[in-house]
Amino acid sequence: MDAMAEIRQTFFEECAEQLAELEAGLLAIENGEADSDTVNAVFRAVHSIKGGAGAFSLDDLVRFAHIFETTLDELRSDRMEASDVVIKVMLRAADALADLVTVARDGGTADASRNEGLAAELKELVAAAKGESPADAATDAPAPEDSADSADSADDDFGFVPVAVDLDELIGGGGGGDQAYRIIFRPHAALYAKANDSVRVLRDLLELGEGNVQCDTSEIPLLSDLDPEGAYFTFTVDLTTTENEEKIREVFEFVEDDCDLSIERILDSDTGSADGAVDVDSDLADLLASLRGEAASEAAADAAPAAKAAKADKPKASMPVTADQPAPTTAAAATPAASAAAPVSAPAKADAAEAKSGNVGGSPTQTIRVDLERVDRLIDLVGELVIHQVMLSQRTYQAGLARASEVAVGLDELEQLTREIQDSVMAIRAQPVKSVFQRLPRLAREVAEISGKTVRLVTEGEWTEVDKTVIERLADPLTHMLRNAIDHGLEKPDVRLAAGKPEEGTVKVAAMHRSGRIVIEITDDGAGINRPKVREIAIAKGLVAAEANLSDEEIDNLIFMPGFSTASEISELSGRGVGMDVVKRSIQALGGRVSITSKPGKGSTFTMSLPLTLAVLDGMIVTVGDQTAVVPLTAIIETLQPKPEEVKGFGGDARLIKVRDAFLPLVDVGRELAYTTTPTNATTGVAILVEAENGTRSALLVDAIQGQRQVVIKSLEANYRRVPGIAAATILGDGRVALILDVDVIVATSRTDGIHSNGLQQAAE
Amino acid sequence: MSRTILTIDDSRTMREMLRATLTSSGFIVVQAEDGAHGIEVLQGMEVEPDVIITDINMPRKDGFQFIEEVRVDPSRRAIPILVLTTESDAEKKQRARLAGATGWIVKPFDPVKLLDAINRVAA
Amino acid sequence: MTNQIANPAENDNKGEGNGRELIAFRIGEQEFCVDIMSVREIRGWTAATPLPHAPSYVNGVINLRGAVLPIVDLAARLGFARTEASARSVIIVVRAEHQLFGLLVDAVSDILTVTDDALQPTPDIASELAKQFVRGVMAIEGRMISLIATDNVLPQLQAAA
Repeated sequence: MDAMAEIRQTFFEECAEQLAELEAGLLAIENGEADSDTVNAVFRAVHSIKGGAGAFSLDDLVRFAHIFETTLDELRSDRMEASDVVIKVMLRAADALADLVTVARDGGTADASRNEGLAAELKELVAAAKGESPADAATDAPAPEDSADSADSADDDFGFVPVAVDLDELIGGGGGGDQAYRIIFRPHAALYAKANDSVRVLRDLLELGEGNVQCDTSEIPLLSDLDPEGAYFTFTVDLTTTENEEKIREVFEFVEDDCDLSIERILDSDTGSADGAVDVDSDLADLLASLRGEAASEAAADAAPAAKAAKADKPKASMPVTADQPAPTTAAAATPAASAAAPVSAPAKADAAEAKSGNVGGSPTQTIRVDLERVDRLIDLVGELVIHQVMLSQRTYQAGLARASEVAVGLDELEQLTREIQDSVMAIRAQPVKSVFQRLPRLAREVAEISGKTVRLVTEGEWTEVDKTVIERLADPLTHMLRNAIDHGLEKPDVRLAAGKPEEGTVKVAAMHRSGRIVIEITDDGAGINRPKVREIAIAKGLVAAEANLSDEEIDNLIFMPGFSTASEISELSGRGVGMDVVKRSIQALGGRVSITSKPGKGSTFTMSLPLTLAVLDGMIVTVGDQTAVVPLTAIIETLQPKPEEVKGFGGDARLIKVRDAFLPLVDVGRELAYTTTPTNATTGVAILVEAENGTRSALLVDAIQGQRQVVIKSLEANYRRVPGIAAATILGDGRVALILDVDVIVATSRTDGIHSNGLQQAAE
Repeated sequence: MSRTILTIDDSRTMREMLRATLTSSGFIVVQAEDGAHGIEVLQGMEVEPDVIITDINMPRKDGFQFIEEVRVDPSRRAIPILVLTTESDAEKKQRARLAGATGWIVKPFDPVKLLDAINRVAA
Repeated sequence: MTNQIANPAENDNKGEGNGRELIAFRIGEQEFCVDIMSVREIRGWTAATPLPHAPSYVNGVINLRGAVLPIVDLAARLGFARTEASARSVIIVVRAEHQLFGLLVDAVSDILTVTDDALQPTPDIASELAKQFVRGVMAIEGRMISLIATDNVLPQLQAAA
């Protein structure tokens, strides 16, 4: 990628960060949680975006950012109050800015009328703050400047109105032949204090043409009164040049406030002193050059300004230089000396400083930026390492090595080490869900606006960490569920008021860790699921039998069935949106699950649970028929050896097992997976007590337990597709593939009225 | 004979743009992320940079404060400092001048003008 | 036996006027072939871990250097009797779109180079099933070899998520 393209990418990355800061800052101000720096940070965020946008000539973005920035300037200077109304406008402006960034990055068109409307609102705010009419506010910052600010020019009626003046015309005959000028330049001390250098200025001036320099040293006081940082010289330059006065003035651009400057055209009859200019000029150049060379050999220090001044006055054929100049001529310009010395040590120092600036980064925790590909590769390799370590252990024991021997001890240590490496490596990719949660406030605002509701969004647990791969795929389902909660869950304001609820609905999105998984709940205080209606629709669409007896919970979860949709009202969102069944499937593809609970009149809660990482799992290795399978440890409560009297038949092939005082369903895993055709022998097998997402308990019946270990998860979807009842696959020590069971699904399908081995079959179709 | 430039800007994009332009013209570029960091980095440089280019709006310590501090330090004050301003804002320029800036460059910067400004203030 | 074929994408198989290279293999008494461009490697047989309730032509999955690879019994897929896999069976690892999977066949016979015009349309008497992924037939040295297109061998079910 070429340099510019790379920087452009950096710019958009940075924009994303700045936009997040911007929104977070504005929300903090809205919630009264802002401190003195928040407003500045918000200003800087927009300022930064504008700066970069200008560099890439993204004019629309620059224009809007500029207006936004100006408004924020009023805010940070305390000329505008951060009222609720103001902040709401700012938030919308932030959204518009984000859209413009997206358009700049990806193409497409922005919503011009919305943006212009917002811009107008911002201008009004500024005008109000300044106590002016909006028209006046638009012509702020009068200074006419060169065209570097193309974005601020003509199109922008708010900002600068550059006044281009063609001085060529004024001076007349400019650009044609030579003109003679007399320039009188008297630096003030301040000029040197700012590290400006009159020699350089004169040099630059002389580059415009030909001329000579005369220095009036009459103001130099006696040594005892000399201020080493004082300025005592007046230079008179007679310059012949084809350039116009504007160009001449430009040379003095940086110093014009710190000097007395006069530039006059000399009419031809006056060229007296300009005679012989050529000779003097080359002498001057030589002298200046030799001065530099000479100065390099001398010591430096504080007399630098005086040294520069003294240098300037040294030269000249036509110069009455008093020989008793103050000694500091020897004080060679620190700059040339330093420049000479600099190249030698600069590279080393620059490296050190660079390394330092790279490392320190201005913040306490050090971070480095790493290519994601490298991290992924590392994780893959560590996964392979784990597999091979397990294989090694197994084969060693199979070869008959005693478990207490040194080799065995070494192998155990190796296993510990490998696990630690794996944990550390997985932690690299773990990220807080904050990055996904960040988009939610804006989404909530938009959905609320379109659906005509008012919403307050509360988020919790944004620092809960999850593997990066999971995070990325969380965004879509989360978005859809939030849309659903606001659009379908919450009632319209008048309905809410009538029901005695506050007009503003509340949606809470909370993330937490629970039994080795990450759980995200989206709760709304809306009307809850309209069960009769849902049931009706499901029956009408043939998703359930008319006479089926469904529990409340089962009715609620009907919305996840394929083909179900509550878009009987056409809402803009549903049209664009996807059904809950797609949401469910995308979550399941991640190895997660989703369910809904609801209380009529009070609200609903979507619960989404996902594995913390898509890469490893602690599992129990079991024998099912003639195959080996893995049961995730997080689902397991305990294992039991059933006694004959504890197992009861229950109609057909179904069996129950008595565990302490309860009878739990005994799920024949072999039958569910169609690995076996005859029922598994309960008394010779093992019962694994498991708890499903909804808290119900069952026992999985398998033939034997082989052991427990951490396995590397391999995806089935990568090369095949999702298999119901199977969460993923793994590679065992012997190199064979073992399937990792999706306990909830297996249990659920085994319970479906009297359907056993057919349960999964139906799910598969 | 390479010259060293210290660039101070809180925007990563701007830092990289400056670096790209300056290194391709043979400068050695040292970076800092804000005014406070700039002071730290500057103090850590045994041989001072030939020029400092600094942004104005930055967290912790802004450009004005940075310049003022540099100008107060006897060992560092002779270093030419250019400020980056985003517009031809006379007020900003004035403040920059008062703080002790040697000159300025307007953002978005034209590489030619940038080098020109550098040459004007540094040997 | 594992023969790895260096990335076929590097073989310039296109438009030198010469058509393409194919790997021919046997299922029972019949011969088929696939475009070498879609073949990743050829391996000996390993027993697959069965997948519950999978279609009858999916034998299960095997471990291919750390990746989980489904194995398709091509005979069953074509509507013939299931293959009696043995140690002499061969798995041809192919890539279709974004997936890798293995074709279980009886033996690999040749690598052929054919011109494009050698391909004739599939005869009408072929079964509907076969027509789904037989791209055409060729007559080579008196043998009839059917060209299999790997894209449809493993149907894509739910494309969502």
